Amino acid sequence: MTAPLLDVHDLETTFFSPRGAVKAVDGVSLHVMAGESVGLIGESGSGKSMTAASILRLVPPSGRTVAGSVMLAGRDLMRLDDEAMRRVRHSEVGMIFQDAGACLNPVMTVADQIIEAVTGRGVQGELDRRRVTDVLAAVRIPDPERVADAYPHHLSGGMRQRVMIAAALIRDPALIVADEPTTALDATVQRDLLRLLIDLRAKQNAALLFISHDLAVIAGLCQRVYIMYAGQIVEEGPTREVFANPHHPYTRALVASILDPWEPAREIIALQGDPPDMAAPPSGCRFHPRCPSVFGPCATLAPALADTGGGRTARCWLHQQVPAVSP
Amino acid sequence: MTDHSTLQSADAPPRPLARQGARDAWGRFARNRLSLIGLTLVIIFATAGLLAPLIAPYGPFQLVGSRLASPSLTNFFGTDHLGRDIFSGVLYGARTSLMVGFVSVALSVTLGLTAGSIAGFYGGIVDDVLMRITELFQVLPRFFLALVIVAIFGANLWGTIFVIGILSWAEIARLVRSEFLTLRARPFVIAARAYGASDAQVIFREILPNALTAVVVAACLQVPSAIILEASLSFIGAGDPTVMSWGRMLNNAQQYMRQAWWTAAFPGLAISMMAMGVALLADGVNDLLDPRLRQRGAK
Repeated sequence: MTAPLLDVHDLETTFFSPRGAVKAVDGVSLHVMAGESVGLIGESGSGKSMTAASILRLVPPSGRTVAGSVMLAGRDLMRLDDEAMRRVRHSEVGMIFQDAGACLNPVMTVADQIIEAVTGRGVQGELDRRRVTDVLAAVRIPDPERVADAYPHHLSGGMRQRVMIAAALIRDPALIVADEPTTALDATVQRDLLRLLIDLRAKQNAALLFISHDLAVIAGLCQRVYIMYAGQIVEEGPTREVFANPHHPYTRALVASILDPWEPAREIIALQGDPPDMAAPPSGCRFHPRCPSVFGPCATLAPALADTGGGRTARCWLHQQVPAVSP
Repeated sequence: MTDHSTLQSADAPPRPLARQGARDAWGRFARNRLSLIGLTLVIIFATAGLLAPLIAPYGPFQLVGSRLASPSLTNFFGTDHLGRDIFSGVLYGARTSLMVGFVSVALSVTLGLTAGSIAGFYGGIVDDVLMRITELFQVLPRFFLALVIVAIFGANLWGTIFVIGILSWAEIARLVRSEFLTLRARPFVIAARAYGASDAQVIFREILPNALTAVVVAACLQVPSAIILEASLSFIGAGDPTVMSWGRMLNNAQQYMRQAWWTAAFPGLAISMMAMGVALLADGVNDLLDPRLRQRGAK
């Protein structure tokens, strides 16, 4: 078996607030093979975006990645100096953010920002311009010549996100990290963008780590999926199987909460309770206060992420032997 | 004017703006009538200052007739207490005032931008040290500090310019720093970092262009206050005695204002018109710099 392109091991990112330390990312391990498309699902505050930020070492100043390793193509990003890390961000990873409108520099033309992602300066000469219009055409922007000279505020949300994707693609990265790139867009634009991402990924053979809270999007895009809850991975496996037969009660609740227009009469099972307070996470299994299947060990013993067969893992006592010690 | 209707629809990108850059820029500038007035005022004063030796009927210190003569066809703005022509004085004074205004602000902006960018971008101890220095400059009463420095270095025009520049940079530095602090956390700066932008790239290509609008406004507001500070230094006699300036004329006029209003009125009017001109021009320059304003309708 070949080594994965991205191999994150026991990543731990803590935020220091006046109320105490908050572990936003608590021992997350995940991997992405070259050319593979992997989803990371979680609700708001589950730490999924912070996982992405930690991988690229872009955690805001109030937080710090305190432990873990991030191997990208055989090197540990956590051990690189700043300049080497900058080069990795520049040439090996393409990041796509949620709010493309805010992520584009308002005073720079589209062409300048896209070419800046490669050369570090604005468009100089016909060659630069050709590269920009080519990549704009590749993300299926109609009339690239016009858009190249536009400022971000001239463009619609979907167009801006295409520009962001173009800026990520022009550097031909081996790994694309997309943090909810379609969440802010309406359904039809979202569908077009996803189709674009699927095609581009196939063409460039880039690996994709796609972060979302939208199960339908992940189902259409990703081969494998990680489910995150309260800073931890709770389940992992091939997307199709995980969604068809969830092992962890949280995943089951997520799948059950999908609205199916063809089955309007189906009962929607809403999850009880609120996401946990990350400054004081629940004892034992973090999901136990909301879990419909809670039993004996859940409140006191924290389950580990364990193999549940068929290339799948889950962090749940329902699927592993409870140790025979008295609590 | 250029075709702005094409820019209104969000989904239809505009025609290539680069090709019509200069015309478009002028269009945006000229759309605001007030900034046109400002530009006109500044041009008039600049021309007056530059061409003073050619268009002034007399020299600035030349005694031309009776003392305190009222405005007439020979002395448009009248004469002062020594019999010098006030019209010529105002023209020569424009030279001094404009030079003081623009050169000292250039100095203040250079210092302020450098210190503010470094403080805002790097933060930490560098920021603390730089900010304590700006506070030092800000708590000291500007005027008395100016007096002290003039007293030490002597009253000459370049000294005055230097003093004013030194006294004004702290304000720009604090402004630039605060702009950096907010812009540093903006998503597009984070996105640039995620693309592996270097520090220099983030400072000069991402943050500074976005901070520029605020800096231009502040700098343009400093021009009139520099002119007025020079005027007040001259007013109390701490200006350069070898050049004519508006402040110096006002200084001379204070004893004779009651008998001869024109000794104070014309230099005073020149100062206020100049200050207004620069302030209005600043507005226009802002519209020019900010591409977001391209969609804004005419005022």
